[in-house]
Amino acid sequence: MTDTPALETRRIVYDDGIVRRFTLASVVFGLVGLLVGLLAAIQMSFWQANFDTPWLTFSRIRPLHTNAVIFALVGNMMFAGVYYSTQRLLKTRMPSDFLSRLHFWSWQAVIIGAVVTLPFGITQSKEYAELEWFLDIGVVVSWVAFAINFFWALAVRNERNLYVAIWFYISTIITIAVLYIVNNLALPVSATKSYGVFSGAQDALTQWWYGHNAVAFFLTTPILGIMYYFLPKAAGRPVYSYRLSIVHFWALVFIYIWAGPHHLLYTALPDWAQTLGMLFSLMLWAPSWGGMLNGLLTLRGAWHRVREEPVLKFFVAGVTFYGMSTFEGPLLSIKSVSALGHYTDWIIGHVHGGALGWNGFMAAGMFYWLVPQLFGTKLHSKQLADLHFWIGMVGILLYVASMWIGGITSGLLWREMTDEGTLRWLQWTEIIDKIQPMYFARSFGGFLFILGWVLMIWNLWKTATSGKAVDGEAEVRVLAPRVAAGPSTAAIVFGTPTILTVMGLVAGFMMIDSSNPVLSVVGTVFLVGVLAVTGVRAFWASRDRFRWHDMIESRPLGFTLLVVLAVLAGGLVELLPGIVLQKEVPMTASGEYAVRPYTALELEGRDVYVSEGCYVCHSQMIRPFRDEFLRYGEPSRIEESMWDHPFQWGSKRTGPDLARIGNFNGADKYPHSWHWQHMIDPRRISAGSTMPRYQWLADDRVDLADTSGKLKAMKALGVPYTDEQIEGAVDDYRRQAAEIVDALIAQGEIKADEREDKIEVQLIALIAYLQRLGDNAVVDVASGGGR
Amino acid sequence: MFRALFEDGVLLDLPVVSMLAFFALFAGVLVWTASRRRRPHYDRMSQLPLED
Repeated sequence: MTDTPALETRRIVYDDGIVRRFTLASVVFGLVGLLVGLLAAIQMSFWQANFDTPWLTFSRIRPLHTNAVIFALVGNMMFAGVYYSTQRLLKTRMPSDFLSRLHFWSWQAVIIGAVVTLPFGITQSKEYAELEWFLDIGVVVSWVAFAINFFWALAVRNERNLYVAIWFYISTIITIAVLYIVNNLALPVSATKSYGVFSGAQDALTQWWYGHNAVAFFLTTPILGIMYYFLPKAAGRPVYSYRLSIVHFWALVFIYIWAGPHHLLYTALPDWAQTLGMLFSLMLWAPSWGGMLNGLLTLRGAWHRVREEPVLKFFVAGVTFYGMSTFEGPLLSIKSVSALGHYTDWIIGHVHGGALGWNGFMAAGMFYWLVPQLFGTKLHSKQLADLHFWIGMVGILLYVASMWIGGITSGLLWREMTDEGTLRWLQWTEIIDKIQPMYFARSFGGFLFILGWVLMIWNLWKTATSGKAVDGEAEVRVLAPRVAAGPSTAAIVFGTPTILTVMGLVAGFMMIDSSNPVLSVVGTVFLVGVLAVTGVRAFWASRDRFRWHDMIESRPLGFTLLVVLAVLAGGLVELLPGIVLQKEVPMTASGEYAVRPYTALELEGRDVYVSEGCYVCHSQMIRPFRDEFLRYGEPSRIEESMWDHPFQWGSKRTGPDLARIGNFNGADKYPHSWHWQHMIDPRRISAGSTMPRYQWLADDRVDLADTSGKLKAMKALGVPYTDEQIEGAVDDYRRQAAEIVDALIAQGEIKADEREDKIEVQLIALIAYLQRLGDNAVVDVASGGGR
Repeated sequence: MFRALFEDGVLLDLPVVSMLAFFALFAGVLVWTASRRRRPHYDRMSQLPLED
């Protein structure tokens, strides 16, 4: 690109039509996503609110809610903000209207695809990555269209340097592409079903590397870019500190990617990965709060306008919620805090503080500012926008506070002991009963937030219809392409700052290697030296003609390359050891795997478990705590889930952990009839249970045409099935299912004349899978396998 | 030398040294960020969103 004087001026018309489309999609699909969330919340108190309908049941609609809010509400809002600000910051129209439209329509097609698949149990069951393989391809097509158009705009820009908002957009495009592709690598086994390539602990690590950074690079960095553009515009003042924005950006982009394992503290994940995740999470405090302060201080001297201007109200509250969420996140990453908060509603409160407060309010602020610009008019009603703000604020506070109280209460009750050293609260339903008032409050809070959203839609609609669609225009100076002044891009990218950063990292890793004291000493000395050189270098650099960051800001290719290096560093350290190293598989005395692969029936049952979304309420990961040992049995071990594609460790316990539901301390926990009755109506077994009925599983059938193919796919992914097992999968399936059906007939649950009919129903397969859970903990080394 | 180093318990100070090193980095960045020295480039970049 160039730093030459302008050759000519040219009048350009921005493509604001694409901004209007994404805005409309965000507010409408956002409302749908929020309403689905409200329905899910109500089912926490009234299990009947699914109306005995499979596709309205909590475990199926919760993934729809999360995906809709993330990808439809925030995604569309983000794209609207990116298209509007990018064109103006680069002083160029988006180069390809076709790509803009392809991006828009393919994205909406994916959202519609999610609506018609997730409620019908077509899911990968990985949180925020539930979409099946064919929709993943749609996401990739859409993202590539977006990326090509964006980077093309960078290439033809008429502004030499890239403003901080553009840096955040670059990091989003690059990182989400890497995260999404790696986490969704899968082997399709049918038109609607696939198995992920990773399994067990590796799958967990990859999933939460993705899950955490989806929050970071989809829900945070693009919105920060939007903050850096729209907040100064709304306030009429430049950003408080451009220097701080440089620190904010690089620190955030580099540190965030390492923090994923804080979602897996006290699990069977290796300790080093857990500690790494915790440390980097704590480091996030500094840049996150730096960014928050940079946003809030932008309003210096203009605070009086916050009283009168609803746009600023939303932005100030949104940025404050960002600060609150980014304080709470690292706090929850401290292992002892995580021990209490993990699996509870505290986490739900935490994410909704971010989603509703940060994302929701930033979206509202942006829309209230943007829609009048897009339609050449004024906002229909500031009073109505103010009302939205206060209703929404009360709703969020009610929601978050109730989930904090409910979550901490649950965590404390789970671990409370009697004087005799036994669990005080043995019955799960007693604990759920105690937090029911919090579930009511949460639903009401969510309702208020939606009410505010509806007011916004009305206000924006009236605004839009009072004006007419206009596209922004500007007179820009066209800059001629020429080799930029100063060193080459390669020399900048691999210049002193990059080298010092890499040396500092190496020194840091040497220093924390506690297994080798000499290395630790050398690492510490090395680190102090690197920091000293950095300080001296920074001092002298202030006299340079060409400053490093000024130069890299004007080289999109070099800038993007540095972003790639920054995000890949943490990703590779976390993921590579598990992918490259051979699995440490416990073997029996006779040389067989101690952990048996699932039988054909158990595998089909597992697919039913995945399809129904059981993981949204039940974990399969017992932590090494006394109360969990007493309640669930032995702590989970890493090899127990080694054949699990995908892992089902879960992240929330609305119901109890199921890792040992089939086998508790070496014996069957419940007979088949217990599971049969429990799934048909949980209250037959557990009075007061809030779990919905899954009676349709007793009638819906497993498609045995796919069973052999599923075993074959698993074998391709490394699960040690023999050719005989694959060929005889259906016969094995029917034989094992018949044993369970016969037991249920003997126990009076099934009539004898229904025997043949029930052998292929989904509930029989699910029972086989549930009865298998925990068996892997019992390894009989001498006889050659697990039970 | 290393034997003396370890026996004298200097290693116990490693976390302190590293903490001081990181704190120095943090403080340095903070000072740079809070510097009131104006840079025309930063002023110009900060004005970009307000230009259209």
